[in-house]
Amino acid sequence: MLLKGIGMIAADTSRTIYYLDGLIKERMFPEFVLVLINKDEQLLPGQENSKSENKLIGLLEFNNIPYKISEDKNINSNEVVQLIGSRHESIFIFSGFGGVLLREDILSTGKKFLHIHGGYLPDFKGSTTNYFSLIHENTIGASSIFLTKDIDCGPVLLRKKFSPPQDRTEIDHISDSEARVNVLIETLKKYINDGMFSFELERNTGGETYYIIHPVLKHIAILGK
Amino acid sequence: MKKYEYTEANRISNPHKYMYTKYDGEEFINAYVEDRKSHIVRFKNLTNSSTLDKNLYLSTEYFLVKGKLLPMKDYGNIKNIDTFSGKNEIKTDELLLSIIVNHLNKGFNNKDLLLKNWTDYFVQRFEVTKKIFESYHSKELRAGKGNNDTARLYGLLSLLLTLNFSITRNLKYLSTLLKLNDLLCSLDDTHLNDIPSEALVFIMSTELEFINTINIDKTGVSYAS
Repeated sequence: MLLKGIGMIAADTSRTIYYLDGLIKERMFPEFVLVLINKDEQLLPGQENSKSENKLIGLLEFNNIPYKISEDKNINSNEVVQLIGSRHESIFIFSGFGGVLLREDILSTGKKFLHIHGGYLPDFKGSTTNYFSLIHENTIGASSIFLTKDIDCGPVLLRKKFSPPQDRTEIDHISDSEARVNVLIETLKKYINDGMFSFELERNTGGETYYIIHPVLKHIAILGK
Repeated sequence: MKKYEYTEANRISNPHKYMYTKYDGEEFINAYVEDRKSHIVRFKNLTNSSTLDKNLYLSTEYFLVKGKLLPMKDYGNIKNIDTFSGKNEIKTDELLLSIIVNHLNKGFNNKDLLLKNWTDYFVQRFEVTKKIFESYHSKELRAGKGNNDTARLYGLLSLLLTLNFSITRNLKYLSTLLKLNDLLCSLDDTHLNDIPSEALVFIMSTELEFINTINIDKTGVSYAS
């Protein structure tokens, strides 16, 4: 099924591959994908290796999903802002490089950016929250939101908690992405079913904002039972 | 024996981003514990003459052990927390001292939002820049001003987070505390001259206790001996 009016911003990360794999399995195809490629040698947040570009383009071509490659990997660059602003799709599934906030220019294009946060909102905002929630309550989570200028504070469409993964050593690139894709698909199914986006939690206030977890705590989260 | 890399270089001039840190199994926790223990031995042997903050550290230690406030002798003028505002430039040491003393005065059931907001402000500044500046400009207090290599300020923030984690058990504070303590351990003896050696020993030993308690709870393993 063509996701009418829905595009995707796709950085060449392992998470994007998960998202696309998940969408394709469910026969949900975005109308258009804007691909952000990191040409630098240094990997960006979300990149497991530098080979995801080929896999990403291969997936798009094999499934006849229209795409365009941006020369600029920065979501806030003029080029990306103009490209997104000129598109007819009103919603973009956001899978950009991690750790970047959307600035005024891109937010004022009139588009909505559907982001899946790796954590249960509003309790766990910020970075690496699934490690914190594993220690805190032995769960991981994911929540779908529309992005706003404040980190993880947009209205929550859907949120879920999951049991801890069998293999906790692969949270960064596997379990976290699996939880997110689960919530993404469920959010889109609900949208298709209802014909509109509805919110589970419109006022996403309170909670705690976390920063990148210290490796000692990360190890305890992984080694925990 | 695995090396604990986070204290290897001066972490003020060579900050660590802690992004996507590698999983190294139980060996990593052992390496961390041994590294901290070796620094505790080093700090015990410091011929450090600083007595500036000694009473504050002793009072905090007494508070954490006995749950009571030890009257502080002649600590000097501590500014009232209400006198600090986001509209004016702030002196970091004055504000940190004020938050710590307020915490001590208010005790374990303290839920003062103002103290939390100021503590979160310093956590955010340190997590984003990996620096603590002597003062912060008035414009939303984002930009630091003056030196950022004064060990005493990192020590005071470490003390505040020690106190804060004891009171709240919020892992966000423990995660930042571990990074701050990595930084303090990475500094040479001369650089640490403005922190009483007893204070360094107290901060590091308390952090090890925190980690050991969580580790026993989550993994069933104790690393203390």
